[in-house]
Amino acid sequence: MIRPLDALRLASTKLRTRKIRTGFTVAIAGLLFGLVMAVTLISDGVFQSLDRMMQQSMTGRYIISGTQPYGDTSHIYRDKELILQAQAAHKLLVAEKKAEAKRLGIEYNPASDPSPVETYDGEQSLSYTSPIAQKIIDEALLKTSPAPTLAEFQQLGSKYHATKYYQVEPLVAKDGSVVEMKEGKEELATTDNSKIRNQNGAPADLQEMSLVPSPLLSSFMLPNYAWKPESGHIPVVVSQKRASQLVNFPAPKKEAPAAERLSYISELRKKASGATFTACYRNTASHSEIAQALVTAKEMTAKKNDATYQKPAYLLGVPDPSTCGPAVVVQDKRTASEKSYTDKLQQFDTKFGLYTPPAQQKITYEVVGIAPNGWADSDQSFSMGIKDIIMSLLMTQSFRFAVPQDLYVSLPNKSNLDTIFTTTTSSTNMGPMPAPFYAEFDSALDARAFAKEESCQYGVSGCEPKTKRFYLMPFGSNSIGLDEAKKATTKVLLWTIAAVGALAAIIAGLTIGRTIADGRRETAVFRAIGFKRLDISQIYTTYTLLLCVRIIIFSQVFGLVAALAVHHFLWVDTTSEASLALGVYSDSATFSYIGISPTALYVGLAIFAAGLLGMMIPLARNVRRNPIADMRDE
Amino acid sequence: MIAREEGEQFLHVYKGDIERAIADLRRIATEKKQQISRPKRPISEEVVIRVSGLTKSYSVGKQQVSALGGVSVDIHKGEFVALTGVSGSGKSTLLQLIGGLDKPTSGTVEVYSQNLSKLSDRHVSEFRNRTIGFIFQFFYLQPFLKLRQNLEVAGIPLRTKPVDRRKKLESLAEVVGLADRLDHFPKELSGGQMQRAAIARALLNDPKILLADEPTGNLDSKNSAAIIELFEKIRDEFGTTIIIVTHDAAIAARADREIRLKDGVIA
Repeated sequence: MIRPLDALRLASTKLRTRKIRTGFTVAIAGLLFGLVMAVTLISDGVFQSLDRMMQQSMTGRYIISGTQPYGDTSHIYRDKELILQAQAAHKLLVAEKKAEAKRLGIEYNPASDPSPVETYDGEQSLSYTSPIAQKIIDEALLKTSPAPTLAEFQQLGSKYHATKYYQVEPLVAKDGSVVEMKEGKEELATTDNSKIRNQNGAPADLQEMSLVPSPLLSSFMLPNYAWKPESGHIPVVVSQKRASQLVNFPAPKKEAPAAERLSYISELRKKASGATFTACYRNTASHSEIAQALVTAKEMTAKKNDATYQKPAYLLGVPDPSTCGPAVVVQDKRTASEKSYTDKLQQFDTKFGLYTPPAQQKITYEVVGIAPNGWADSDQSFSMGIKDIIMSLLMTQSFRFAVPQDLYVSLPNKSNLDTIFTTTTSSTNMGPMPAPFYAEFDSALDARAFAKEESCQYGVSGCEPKTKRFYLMPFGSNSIGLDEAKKATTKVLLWTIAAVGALAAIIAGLTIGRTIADGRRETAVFRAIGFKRLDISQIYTTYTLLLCVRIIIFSQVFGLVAALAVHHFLWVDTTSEASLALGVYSDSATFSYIGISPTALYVGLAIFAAGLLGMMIPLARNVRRNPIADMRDE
Repeated sequence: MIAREEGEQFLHVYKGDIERAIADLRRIATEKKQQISRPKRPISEEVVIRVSGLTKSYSVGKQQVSALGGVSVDIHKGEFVALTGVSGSGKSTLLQLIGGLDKPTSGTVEVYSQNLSKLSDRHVSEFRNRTIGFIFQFFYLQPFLKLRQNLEVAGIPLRTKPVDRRKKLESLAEVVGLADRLDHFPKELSGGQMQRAAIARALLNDPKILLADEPTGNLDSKNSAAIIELFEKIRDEFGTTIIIVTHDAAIAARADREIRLKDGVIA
């Protein structure tokens, strides 16, 4: 072997012999690898940024939520036996009501109790709007697919080394609804309940509150929140979107200065801490009275100029909207017999479980935490841009209104709240909806295996396979999904590197082959001077390495410039949007599109490998040649 | 009668010619140590190169072409030998076989009692580097290296210290008259200067034998004369054995001995 420095000196002369060819090779191979390098830098930057940002949200926590999958209930709705059972129950109820009405001397219209059976295209099925049918369906569903228990979930999770389990309970009004009092006032102008519920999105949220174990919410809690149990305020963790609405602090627009967008989350958390809002709880009877008062008021306004119009004897008025009070009795000119009739109607309803006294209560909520916007709160419209792909990775299941369990139970007015709220599962037309369970894992691998192997997947015929008792998905942050995406990206990148490497090896091989062929006479002279075959190989290997170094420099510069360009144009947007999605408020948690990882090293190694691979054949052929033949060829 | 006698006499003469011719051929074929021309100055008795029954044939397509058909010759220490002959006579092939650049088909080349055919590639390379200096018609200087670095190239395989190399090349540059051109690139040198540089390169490792393949083939007569003078100087100063392949009769005349090759054998 000759001295490396001598090999370097002799090899460098070869780079100067065919400058255009060398430049072309460096440019083409450099561009190919540069593209891979750019993608590598960007994807590393994305994943490293996400990791960094998620460490300040829910990262490091691999939580899987499990819910009972919705089954195919159509067969229950069409079950002939159940239909007969419902028809019999309905018939009995109508008969009982008729008898009771007769006994009380009041009128009863059987049409007010709709049939529990509907007929479509000549086929009978149970009607979920009928309380009789609803009860029968729920019972049948519970019988055929009983709700999974926490013990079942734990047993399943233990196979995958789950470390903690949680159960989230719904916190819903037993009867009636809880409606936000916007700016402290009830919207009483309309009797259209659905309109009220959809207004600003808030009322619907309040119906979807969850009582959540505190460890699940720890990442979302605001530091030093001011809430005290003595306040009687229900502590809540709200989504960022709701928080921004509550404190009237909308997210800055895209055109806003970068600093404003970046500091938004931090500002929002400061503003939202301790923010309160009120809601009015009304049970069905209270709603009915308010509705009656509104209808009467509307009627009176319409017939203001009608001299023949007579006000109702029992006149209800709407309460002060800021009080959440009961309907006000404006006048009661009912006769004794009218009052007696009303009492009998009340007795009738009470007997059949249709009457509850009106109840209403003003409830105050206090923000103690902010959770990232989940899918439900997302405004994202996804396309295939880099930023959109990143955002789609971040979106996951999250809470919209969550009440920390330990704080809730410490409320002195809890017993009062218990009269309003229940933690029992609600029922839908798909059957009872049990509360979800949560399992926490130490590793993404376990969590992923659990979700992959133990979950059913929704398809055209419900959640398949039917033997699976849970529908499982990541919760809180998409760290598991990110892990998957990271692995998939790395895999794709490595294949791309291999493919590009093969292509570059061919290009480099052709160039090196030509250079070696051009240098045959020189090789012959060197051999005559006393260079061994190994020395010649060393010179050409050094030349190849020098060529590779040039390609590496070219590709790294190209990749870095491309990544810098992407970073320059997208980092502010992505930082602010990722902060929103993750609920990260730290100013230091910025998003970078440039990241270094072993994959970048693989690109460099691939270039060397491609070069050395390309060198092999021409060099092997060259050193085997007889130098005399090359001298004679001249 | 007279006619018959004349005929017999003619046949006798003819027969004698044939016999002489056969005898001459036998002598040529069997004579191993043959002196073609007289040495022009006293030479050492020490034989440094011994070529015995050397043959070399090449495959050209499906045909075998004989380049050397059995050459035997001894070359003495410090001898200046000119290999001459027409193109294709086998003189370059002989030179290359002496230099260990190629393997003979049969026969042996012994240099300082070492049979080159029996040496491995690595050892032949080392032998070339230490013992032989090669000079070519087309100089073969690296165009992107300065003259100083070009001269150093010969020292690379031996891994001699760069400082020693530099000292040596500077003194050699003095010998070949290129001391002031060391920092020039080959393109800045004349043909004669380039050949002198190639000679200096060949001398870097103090070779005992210098093999030159038509070193003046690319030079004018003035430069050719200068190169030959340089060879003589080298021989005189360093005692180097020099074998030179040439077409030039004038150069051959200045050699101690001329070995003429014809159709692969010594003429």
